[in-house]
Amino acid sequence: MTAARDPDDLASALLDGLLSDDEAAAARRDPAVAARLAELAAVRDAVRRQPRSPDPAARERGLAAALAAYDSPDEADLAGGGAVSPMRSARAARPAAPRTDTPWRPHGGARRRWLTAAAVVLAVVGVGILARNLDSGGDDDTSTAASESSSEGGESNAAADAGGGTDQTAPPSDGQLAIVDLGDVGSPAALAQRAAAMVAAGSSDASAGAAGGQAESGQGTAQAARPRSAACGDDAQAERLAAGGEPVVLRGRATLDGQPVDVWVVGASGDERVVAVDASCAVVVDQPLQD
Amino acid sequence: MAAAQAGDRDALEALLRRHHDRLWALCRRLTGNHADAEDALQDALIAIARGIRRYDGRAAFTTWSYRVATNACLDELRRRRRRPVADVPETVGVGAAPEGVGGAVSAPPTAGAVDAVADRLDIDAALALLPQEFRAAVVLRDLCDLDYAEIGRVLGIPPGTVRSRIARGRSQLADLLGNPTDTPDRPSTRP
Repeated sequence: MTAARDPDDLASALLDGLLSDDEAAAARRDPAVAARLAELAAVRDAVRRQPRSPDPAARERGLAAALAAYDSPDEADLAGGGAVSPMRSARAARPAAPRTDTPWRPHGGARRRWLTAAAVVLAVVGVGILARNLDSGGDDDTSTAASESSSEGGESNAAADAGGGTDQTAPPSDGQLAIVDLGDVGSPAALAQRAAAMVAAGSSDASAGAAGGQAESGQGTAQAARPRSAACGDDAQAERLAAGGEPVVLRGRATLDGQPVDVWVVGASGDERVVAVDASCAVVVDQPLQD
Repeated sequence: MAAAQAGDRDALEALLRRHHDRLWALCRRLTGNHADAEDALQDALIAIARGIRRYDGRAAFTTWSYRVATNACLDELRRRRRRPVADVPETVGVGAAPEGVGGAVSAPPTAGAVDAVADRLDIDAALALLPQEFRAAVVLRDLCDLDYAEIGRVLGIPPGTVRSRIARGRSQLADLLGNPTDTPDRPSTRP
Protein backbone atom coordinates (compact mmCIF):
# COMPACT_ATOMS: atom_id res chain seq x y z
CA MET A 1 0.00 0.00 0.00
CA THR A 2 2.55 2.56 1.07
CA ALA A 3 5.17 1.52 -1.45
CA ALA A 4 3.29 3.12 -4.30
CA ARG A 5 2.96 6.49 -2.60
CA ASP A 6 5.23 9.45 -2.95
CA PRO A 7 8.01 9.42 -0.32
CA ASP A 8 7.46 13.12 0.36
CA ASP A 9 3.80 12.56 1.06
CA LEU A 10 4.52 9.54 3.20
CA ALA A 11 7.24 11.29 5.15
CA SER A 12 5.06 14.32 5.74
CA ALA A 13 2.15 12.17 6.85
CA LEU A 14 4.44 10.21 9.11
CA LEU A 15 5.78 13.40 10.60
CA ASP A 16 2.26 14.48 11.44
CA GLY A 17 1.27 11.13 12.85
CA LEU A 18 -1.32 10.45 10.16
CA LEU A 19 -0.31 6.90 9.31
CA SER A 20 -1.51 3.77 10.96
CA ASP A 21 1.02 1.73 12.90
CA ASP A 22 1.45 -0.68 10.03
CA GLU A 23 1.81 2.09 7.48
CA ALA A 24 4.25 3.93 9.69
CA ALA A 25 6.36 0.83 10.22
CA ALA A 26 6.43 0.15 6.50
CA ALA A 27 7.32 3.73 5.75
CA ARG A 28 10.16 3.72 8.24
CA ARG A 29 11.62 0.65 6.57
CA ASP A 30 11.80 2.49 3.28
CA PRO A 31 15.20 4.22 3.15
CA ALA A 32 13.92 6.95 0.86
CA VAL A 33 11.07 7.77 3.21
CA ALA A 34 13.31 7.61 6.26
CA ALA A 35 15.79 10.01 4.71
CA ARG A 36 13.06 12.39 3.65
CA LEU A 37 11.49 12.22 7.08
CA ALA A 38 14.70 13.50 8.61
CA GLU A 39 14.80 16.40 6.20
CA LEU A 40 11.17 17.32 6.66
CA ALA A 41 11.54 17.19 10.42
CA ALA A 42 14.41 19.62 10.13
CA VAL A 43 12.24 21.89 7.98
CA ARG A 44 9.44 21.70 10.49
CA ASP A 45 11.78 22.64 13.29
CA ALA A 46 13.09 25.56 11.28
CA VAL A 47 9.61 26.90 10.57
CA ARG A 48 8.65 26.40 14.18
CA ARG A 49 11.40 28.55 15.58
CA GLN A 50 9.87 31.71 16.88
CA PRO A 51 10.67 34.75 14.78
CA ARG A 52 12.24 37.81 16.23
CA SER A 53 9.82 39.66 18.46
CA PRO A 54 7.99 42.70 17.17
CA ASP A 55 9.04 46.17 18.10
CA PRO A 56 7.27 46.88 21.42
CA ALA A 57 6.23 50.31 20.23
CA ALA A 58 4.72 48.82 17.08
CA ARG A 59 2.88 46.29 19.17
CA GLU A 60 1.35 49.00 21.32
CA ARG A 61 0.36 51.00 18.27
CA GLY A 62 -1.28 48.00 16.70
CA LEU A 63 -3.21 47.25 19.84
CA ALA A 64 -4.23 50.88 20.16
CA ALA A 65 -5.51 50.88 16.60
CA ALA A 66 -7.53 47.74 17.27
CA LEU A 67 -9.03 49.19 20.41
CA ALA A 68 -9.89 52.36 18.53
CA ALA A 69 -11.72 50.25 15.97
CA TYR A 70 -13.50 48.46 18.78
CA ASP A 71 -14.54 51.78 20.25
CA SER A 72 -15.96 52.85 16.92
CA PRO A 73 -17.99 49.92 15.62
CA ASP A 74 -18.96 50.27 12.02
CA GLU A 75 -22.44 50.20 10.62
CA ALA A 76 -22.39 46.46 10.16
CA ASP A 77 -21.67 45.93 13.83
CA LEU A 78 -24.42 48.27 14.85
CA ALA A 79 -26.81 46.60 12.46
CA GLY A 80 -26.26 43.23 14.00
CA GLY A 81 -23.42 41.78 12.27
CA GLY A 82 -22.91 39.00 9.91
CA ALA A 83 -25.36 40.06 7.26
CA VAL A 84 -22.76 41.93 5.33
CA SER A 85 -21.97 41.29 1.72
CA PRO A 86 -18.55 41.82 0.23
CA MET A 87 -20.33 43.66 -2.53
CA ARG A 88 -21.77 46.25 -0.20
CA SER A 89 -20.28 49.66 -0.49
CA ALA A 90 -16.88 49.74 1.10
CA ARG A 91 -17.61 53.23 2.25
CA ALA A 92 -20.34 52.03 4.59
CA ALA A 93 -18.17 49.42 6.24
CA ARG A 94 -15.24 51.56 7.19
CA PRO A 95 -14.68 52.35 10.82
CA ALA A 96 -15.00 55.89 11.95
CA ALA A 97 -11.39 56.36 12.87
CA PRO A 98 -9.31 53.32 13.64
CA ARG A 99 -6.88 53.73 10.77
CA THR A 100 -5.45 57.11 10.37
CA ASP A 101 -2.58 58.30 8.33
CA THR A 102 -0.38 58.83 11.29
CA PRO A 103 3.35 58.25 11.47
CA TRP A 104 2.97 54.96 13.27
CA ARG A 105 1.97 53.22 10.07
CA PRO A 106 5.21 51.68 8.81
CA HIS A 107 4.47 52.81 5.28
CA GLY A 108 2.94 56.14 6.11
CA GLY A 109 4.98 57.94 3.50
CA ALA A 110 3.72 55.69 0.77
CA ARG A 111 0.18 56.12 2.03
CA ARG A 112 0.50 59.87 1.91
CA ARG A 113 1.66 59.61 -1.67
CA TRP A 114 -1.37 57.46 -2.45
CA LEU A 115 -3.58 59.96 -0.73
CA THR A 116 -2.19 62.71 -2.90
CA ALA A 117 -2.64 60.60 -6.01
CA ALA A 118 -6.18 59.69 -4.99
CA ALA A 119 -7.03 63.33 -4.39
CA VAL A 120 -5.75 64.23 -7.85
CA VAL A 121 -7.79 61.43 -9.43
CA LEU A 122 -10.88 62.50 -7.54
CA ALA A 123 -10.40 66.09 -8.58
CA VAL A 124 -10.09 65.07 -12.23
CA VAL A 125 -13.13 62.83 -11.98
CA GLY A 126 -15.05 65.56 -10.25
CA VAL A 127 -14.26 68.06 -12.97
CA GLY A 128 -15.29 65.53 -15.59
CA ILE A 129 -18.56 64.79 -13.87
CA LEU A 130 -19.25 68.47 -13.46
CA ALA A 131 -18.64 68.96 -17.17
CA ARG A 132 -20.99 66.09 -17.98
CA ASN A 133 -23.64 67.51 -15.74
CA LEU A 134 -23.42 70.84 -17.43
CA ASP A 135 -23.91 69.08 -20.75
CA SER A 136 -26.70 66.69 -19.75
CA GLY A 137 -28.63 68.42 -17.08
CA GLY A 138 -26.82 66.70 -14.28
CA ASP A 139 -29.27 64.20 -12.91
CA ASP A 140 -27.76 60.84 -13.76
CA ASP A 141 -26.68 58.22 -11.26
CA THR A 142 -23.04 58.52 -12.12
CA SER A 143 -22.82 62.02 -10.83
CA THR A 144 -24.31 60.91 -7.55
CA ALA A 145 -21.87 58.09 -7.15
CA ALA A 146 -18.97 60.31 -8.00
CA SER A 147 -19.99 63.01 -5.60
CA GLU A 148 -20.31 60.46 -2.82
CA SER A 149 -16.91 59.17 -3.68
CA SER A 150 -15.50 62.65 -3.59
CA SER A 151 -16.96 63.38 -0.22
CA GLU A 152 -15.45 60.28 1.30
CA GLY A 153 -12.07 61.23 -0.05
CA GLY A 154 -11.78 63.66 2.81
CA GLU A 155 -11.89 60.95 5.44
CA SER A 156 -8.64 59.72 6.78
CA ASN A 157 -9.55 56.04 6.57
CA ALA A 158 -10.68 56.46 3.01
CA ALA A 159 -7.23 57.78 2.37
CA ALA A 160 -5.77 54.72 3.98
CA ASP A 161 -7.81 52.52 1.70
CA ALA A 162 -6.73 54.54 -1.25
CA GLY A 163 -3.24 53.66 -0.15
CA GLY A 164 -4.21 50.07 -0.74
CA GLY A 165 -4.52 50.97 -4.34
CA THR A 166 -8.00 49.93 -5.33
CA ASP A 167 -10.98 51.98 -4.41
CA GLN A 168 -10.14 55.21 -6.09
CA THR A 169 -7.39 54.35 -8.49
CA ALA A 170 -8.66 51.37 -10.45
CA PRO A 171 -11.11 52.27 -13.13
CA PRO A 172 -13.88 51.54 -13.70
CA SER A 173 -14.76 52.81 -10.28
CA ASP A 174 -16.96 51.03 -7.77
CA GLY A 175 -20.61 51.83 -7.93
CA GLN A 176 -20.55 51.99 -11.70
CA LEU A 177 -20.44 48.26 -12.24
CA ALA A 178 -23.60 46.31 -11.74
CA ILE A 179 -23.38 43.12 -9.77
CA VAL A 180 -24.01 40.23 -12.09
CA ASP A 181 -25.61 36.99 -11.04
CA LEU A 182 -23.50 34.24 -12.54
CA GLY A 183 -25.82 31.52 -11.35
CA ASP A 184 -24.88 28.02 -10.22
CA VAL A 185 -21.63 26.53 -11.44
CA GLY A 186 -19.95 23.31 -10.51
CA SER A 187 -16.29 24.14 -10.89
CA PRO A 188 -13.84 27.03 -11.12
CA ALA A 189 -13.47 26.33 -14.82
CA ALA A 190 -17.20 26.64 -15.31
CA LEU A 191 -17.19 29.84 -13.33
CA ALA A 192 -14.39 31.23 -15.46
CA GLN A 193 -16.23 30.23 -18.59
CA ARG A 194 -19.40 31.93 -17.49
CA ALA A 195 -17.56 35.03 -16.37
CA ALA A 196 -15.75 35.15 -19.69
CA ALA A 197 -19.09 34.99 -21.47
CA MET A 198 -20.34 37.85 -19.35
CA VAL A 199 -17.30 39.95 -20.07
CA ALA A 200 -17.47 39.17 -23.76
CA ALA A 201 -21.13 40.05 -23.85
CA GLY A 202 -20.60 43.33 -22.14
CA SER A 203 -21.43 41.90 -18.77
CA SER A 204 -22.95 44.48 -16.57
CA ASP A 205 -26.16 45.44 -18.24
CA ALA A 206 -28.76 43.81 -20.40
CA SER A 207 -26.36 41.16 -21.66
CA ALA A 208 -26.31 39.55 -18.24
CA GLY A 209 -29.72 38.06 -18.77
CA ALA A 210 -28.74 36.57 -22.08
CA ALA A 211 -26.05 34.50 -20.41
CA GLY A 212 -28.38 33.02 -17.87
CA GLY A 213 -27.93 35.48 -15.04
CA GLN A 214 -29.35 38.84 -14.20
CA ALA A 215 -27.85 42.16 -13.49
CA GLU A 216 -28.56 43.82 -10.21
CA SER A 217 -28.02 47.22 -8.87
CA GLY A 218 -24.76 47.66 -7.04
CA GLN A 219 -26.71 49.46 -4.37
CA GLY A 220 -29.26 46.70 -3.97
CA THR A 221 -30.13 45.66 -0.49
CA ALA A 222 -31.46 42.18 -1.11
CA GLN A 223 -28.05 40.80 -1.92
CA ALA A 224 -26.50 42.56 1.01
CA ALA A 225 -28.44 40.27 3.29
CA ARG A 226 -26.37 37.24 2.40
CA PRO A 227 -24.35 36.32 5.49
CA ARG A 228 -20.64 36.83 5.45
CA SER A 229 -18.06 35.96 8.07
CA ALA A 230 -16.49 38.69 10.09
CA ALA A 231 -13.18 37.27 9.02
CA CYS A 232 -13.18 39.53 5.98
CA GLY A 233 -12.83 42.60 8.11
CA ASP A 234 -14.68 44.90 5.79
CA ASP A 235 -15.83 45.07 2.20
CA ALA A 236 -12.81 47.00 1.10
CA GLN A 237 -10.63 44.17 2.28
CA ALA A 238 -12.64 41.67 0.28
CA GLU A 239 -12.32 43.85 -2.79
CA ARG A 240 -8.61 44.35 -2.25
CA LEU A 241 -8.20 40.66 -1.65
CA ALA A 242 -9.80 39.92 -4.98
CA ALA A 243 -8.51 42.74 -7.12
CA GLY A 244 -5.17 43.46 -5.54
CA GLY A 245 -5.14 46.89 -7.13
CA GLU A 246 -5.95 45.72 -10.62
CA PRO A 247 -8.84 47.15 -12.61
CA VAL A 248 -12.16 45.51 -11.87
CA VAL A 249 -13.84 44.41 -15.08
CA LEU A 250 -16.84 42.60 -13.64
CA ARG A 251 -18.38 42.11 -10.27
CA GLY A 252 -20.79 39.34 -9.57
CA ARG A 253 -21.81 36.50 -7.43
CA ALA A 254 -22.43 32.88 -8.01
CA THR A 255 -23.00 29.59 -6.33
CA LEU A 256 -19.89 27.49 -6.79
CA ASP A 257 -20.34 23.85 -6.02
CA GLY A 258 -23.13 24.74 -3.62
CA GLN A 259 -21.27 27.56 -1.89
CA PRO A 260 -22.15 31.22 -2.43
CA VAL A 261 -19.19 33.21 -3.67
CA ASP A 262 -18.55 36.76 -4.68
CA VAL A 263 -16.78 37.05 -7.97
CA TRP A 264 -14.53 39.60 -9.56
CA VAL A 265 -12.96 39.67 -12.97
CA VAL A 266 -9.86 41.78 -12.68
CA GLY A 267 -6.89 42.72 -14.79
CA ALA A 268 -6.03 44.36 -18.04
CA SER A 269 -7.78 43.39 -21.23
CA GLY A 270 -6.52 40.08 -22.48
CA ASP A 271 -4.98 39.27 -19.14
CA GLU A 272 -8.02 39.08 -16.92
CA ARG A 273 -8.34 36.75 -13.98
CA VAL A 274 -11.45 35.51 -12.29
CA VAL A 275 -11.30 35.63 -8.51
CA ALA A 276 -13.95 34.22 -6.22
CA VAL A 277 -14.17 34.78 -2.48
CA ASP A 278 -16.38 32.60 -0.37
CA ALA A 279 -18.60 33.54 2.53
CA SER A 280 -15.73 33.26 4.96
CA CYS A 281 -13.50 35.50 2.91
CA ALA A 282 -11.25 32.79 1.55
CA VAL A 283 -10.16 33.06 -2.04
CA VAL A 284 -11.50 29.87 -3.58
CA VAL A 285 -10.79 30.65 -7.22
CA ASP A 286 -7.99 32.68 -8.71
CA GLN A 287 -7.23 31.76 -12.27
CA PRO A 288 -7.02 33.24 -15.73
CA LEU A 289 -10.36 34.12 -17.22
CA GLN A 290 -9.62 32.15 -20.35
CA ASP A 291 -8.30 28.94 -18.87
CA MET B 1 -14.11 36.33 25.37
CA ALA B 2 -17.72 36.84 26.39
CA ALA B 3 -16.86 40.09 28.09
CA ALA B 4 -15.04 41.34 25.01
CA GLN B 5 -18.04 40.44 22.87
CA ALA B 6 -20.28 42.26 25.29
CA GLY B 7 -18.34 45.48 24.94
CA ASP B 8 -15.72 45.23 27.65
CA ARG B 9 -12.77 47.08 26.21
CA ASP B 10 -10.35 45.88 28.87
CA ALA B 11 -11.33 42.30 28.19
CA LEU B 12 -10.66 42.77 24.51
CA GLU B 13 -7.29 44.33 25.21
CA ALA B 14 -6.35 41.42 27.44
CA LEU B 15 -7.50 38.99 24.77
CA LEU B 16 -5.51 40.70 22.06
CA ARG B 17 -2.41 40.90 24.22
CA ARG B 18 -2.68 37.23 25.05
CA HIS B 19 -2.83 36.24 21.40
CA HIS B 20 -0.61 38.94 19.98
CA ASP B 21 2.67 37.08 19.87
CA ARG B 22 1.38 34.00 18.14
CA LEU B 23 -0.41 36.13 15.55
CA TRP B 24 2.77 38.09 15.11
CA ALA B 25 4.71 34.90 14.50
CA LEU B 26 2.19 33.84 11.87
CA CYS B 27 2.30 37.19 10.11
CA ARG B 28 6.07 37.32 10.32
CA ARG B 29 6.43 33.93 8.68
CA LEU B 30 3.77 34.55 6.04
CA THR B 31 4.96 37.97 4.98
CA GLY B 32 8.66 37.33 5.48
CA ASN B 33 9.62 40.69 6.90
CA HIS B 34 8.96 42.95 9.81
CA ALA B 35 7.36 45.88 8.02
CA ASP B 36 4.76 43.87 6.14
CA ALA B 37 4.12 41.73 9.20
CA GLU B 38 3.42 44.83 11.27
CA ASP B 39 0.99 46.14 8.67
CA ALA B 40 -0.76 42.82 8.28
CA LEU B 41 -0.97 42.21 11.99
CA GLN B 42 -2.42 45.62 12.59
CA ASP B 43 -5.07 44.95 9.97
CA ALA B 44 -5.76 41.61 11.59
CA LEU B 45 -6.08 43.10 15.07
CA ILE B 46 -8.46 45.72 13.75
CA ALA B 47 -10.51 43.08 11.97
CA ILE B 48 -10.65 41.00 15.13
CA ALA B 49 -11.69 43.99 17.20
CA ARG B 50 -14.39 44.87 14.72
CA GLY B 51 -15.54 41.32 14.26
CA ILE B 52 -15.45 40.09 17.83
CA ARG B 53 -19.06 41.01 18.43
CA ARG B 54 -20.05 38.88 15.47
CA TYR B 55 -17.75 35.98 16.27
CA ASP B 56 -20.14 33.08 16.68
CA GLY B 57 -17.90 30.58 18.42
CA ARG B 58 -18.31 27.86 15.81
CA ALA B 59 -14.55 27.73 15.46
CA ALA B 60 -12.13 28.13 18.33
CA PHE B 61 -11.08 31.72 18.81
CA THR B 62 -7.53 30.68 18.05
CA THR B 63 -8.54 29.21 14.71
CA TRP B 64 -10.72 32.18 13.88
CA SER B 65 -8.00 34.65 14.72
CA TYR B 66 -5.51 32.69 12.66
CA ARG B 67 -7.91 32.89 9.78
CA VAL B 68 -8.29 36.62 10.15
CA ALA B 69 -4.53 37.06 10.37
CA THR B 70 -3.87 34.78 7.43
CA ASN B 71 -6.31 36.71 5.30
CA ALA B 72 -4.72 39.96 6.39
CA CYS B 73 -1.29 38.68 5.44
CA LEU B 74 -2.40 37.39 2.06
CA ASP B 75 -4.22 40.64 1.50
CA GLU B 76 -1.09 42.57 2.34
CA LEU B 77 0.94 40.51 -0.10
CA ARG B 78 -1.68 40.84 -2.81
CA ARG B 79 -1.84 44.55 -2.25
CA ARG B 80 1.85 44.72 -2.88
CA ARG B 81 1.52 42.23 -5.74
CA ARG B 82 4.55 40.28 -4.83
CA ARG B 83 5.93 37.43 -2.89
CA PRO B 84 7.21 38.02 0.60
CA VAL B 85 10.50 39.84 0.82
CA ALA B 86 12.59 38.40 3.59
CA ASP B 87 14.51 40.56 5.99
CA VAL B 88 18.12 39.93 6.76
CA PRO B 89 18.34 36.32 7.92
CA GLU B 90 17.51 35.86 11.53
CA THR B 91 19.72 34.27 14.08
CA VAL B 92 18.95 30.62 14.15
CA GLY B 93 17.29 29.36 17.25
CA VAL B 94 16.03 32.59 18.69
CA GLY B 95 13.28 31.85 21.13
CA ALA B 96 11.87 28.49 21.94
CA ALA B 97 9.82 26.24 19.78
CA PRO B 98 6.25 25.83 20.91
CA GLU B 99 5.59 22.68 22.75
CA GLY B 100 3.08 19.98 22.29
CA VAL B 101 2.93 19.40 18.58
CA GLY B 102 -0.14 17.25 18.39
CA GLY B 103 0.13 13.90 16.75
CA ALA B 104 3.60 14.55 15.49
CA VAL B 105 6.37 12.06 15.40
CA SER B 106 9.05 13.00 17.87
CA ALA B 107 11.77 14.73 15.95
CA PRO B 108 13.70 12.01 14.21
CA PRO B 109 16.14 13.99 12.12
CA THR B 110 19.68 12.89 11.87
CA ALA B 111 22.24 15.32 13.17
CA GLY B 112 23.51 15.76 9.66
CA ALA B 113 20.13 16.71 8.30
CA VAL B 114 19.53 19.28 11.00
CA ASP B 115 22.94 20.78 10.57
CA ALA B 116 22.61 20.87 6.82
CA VAL B 117 19.45 22.86 7.16
CA ALA B 118 20.51 25.03 10.03
CA ASP B 119 23.78 25.94 8.44
CA ARG B 120 22.00 27.55 5.54
CA LEU B 121 18.97 28.59 7.40
CA ASP B 122 17.14 31.54 6.15
CA ILE B 123 13.74 30.15 6.63
CA ASP B 124 11.97 33.33 5.63
CA ALA B 125 13.80 33.47 2.33
CA ALA B 126 12.93 29.87 1.66
CA LEU B 127 9.31 30.37 2.64
CA ALA B 128 9.14 33.38 0.34
CA LEU B 129 9.94 31.14 -2.59
CA LEU B 130 7.07 28.80 -1.89
CA PRO B 131 3.75 29.21 -3.65
CA GLN B 132 1.49 31.16 -1.36
CA GLU B 133 -0.92 28.33 -0.79
CA PHE B 134 1.85 25.97 0.24
CA ARG B 135 3.46 28.54 2.50
CA ALA B 136 0.27 29.22 4.39
CA ALA B 137 -0.46 25.54 4.90
CA VAL B 138 3.04 24.76 6.13
CA VAL B 139 3.18 27.73 8.49
CA LEU B 140 -0.24 27.02 9.94
CA ARG B 141 0.81 23.45 10.59
CA ASP B 142 4.39 23.75 11.69
CA LEU B 143 4.35 27.11 13.42
CA CYS B 144 0.77 27.43 14.60
CA ASP B 145 0.30 23.73 15.26
CA LEU B 146 -3.17 23.57 13.77
CA ASP B 147 -4.45 20.19 12.71
CA TYR B 148 -5.46 19.52 9.13
CA ALA B 149 -9.14 20.14 9.71
CA GLU B 150 -8.43 23.49 11.34
CA ILE B 151 -6.10 24.47 8.53
CA GLY B 152 -8.81 23.49 6.09
CA ARG B 153 -11.20 25.82 7.84
CA VAL B 154 -8.68 28.64 7.89
CA LEU B 155 -7.81 28.33 4.22
CA GLY B 156 -11.21 27.20 3.01
CA ILE B 157 -9.96 23.97 1.48
CA PRO B 158 -10.61 20.28 2.14
CA PRO B 159 -8.31 18.39 4.54
CA GLY B 160 -7.01 16.28 1.68
CA THR B 161 -5.83 19.40 -0.07
CA VAL B 162 -4.28 20.58 3.17
CA ARG B 163 -2.31 17.37 3.42
CA SER B 164 -1.11 17.68 -0.15
CA ARG B 165 -0.07 21.29 0.26
CA ILE B 166 1.78 20.62 3.47
CA ALA B 167 3.65 17.68 1.98
CA ARG B 168 4.58 19.59 -1.14
CA GLY B 169 5.44 22.72 0.77
CA ARG B 170 7.69 20.91 3.20
CA SER B 171 9.31 19.05 0.36
CA GLN B 172 10.04 22.23 -1.54
CA LEU B 173 11.35 23.88 1.60
CA ALA B 174 13.68 20.96 2.22
CA ASP B 175 14.94 21.22 -1.32
CA LEU B 176 15.35 24.96 -1.07
CA LEU B 177 17.20 24.82 2.20
CA GLY B 178 19.35 22.08 0.82
CA ASN B 179 19.94 23.88 -2.44
CA PRO B 180 18.94 27.54 -2.21
CA THR B 181 19.32 28.12 -5.92
CA ASP B 182 16.34 25.95 -6.75
CA THR B 183 13.08 27.74 -7.29
CA PRO B 184 9.89 25.72 -7.27
CA ASP B 185 7.29 26.20 -9.92
CA ARG B 186 4.50 28.45 -8.86
CA PRO B 187 1.06 27.23 -9.83
CA SER B 188 -1.37 29.85 -10.93
CA THR B 189 -4.47 28.18 -9.60
CA ARG B 190 -5.52 26.56 -6.42
CA PRO B 191 -6.02 22.81 -6.56
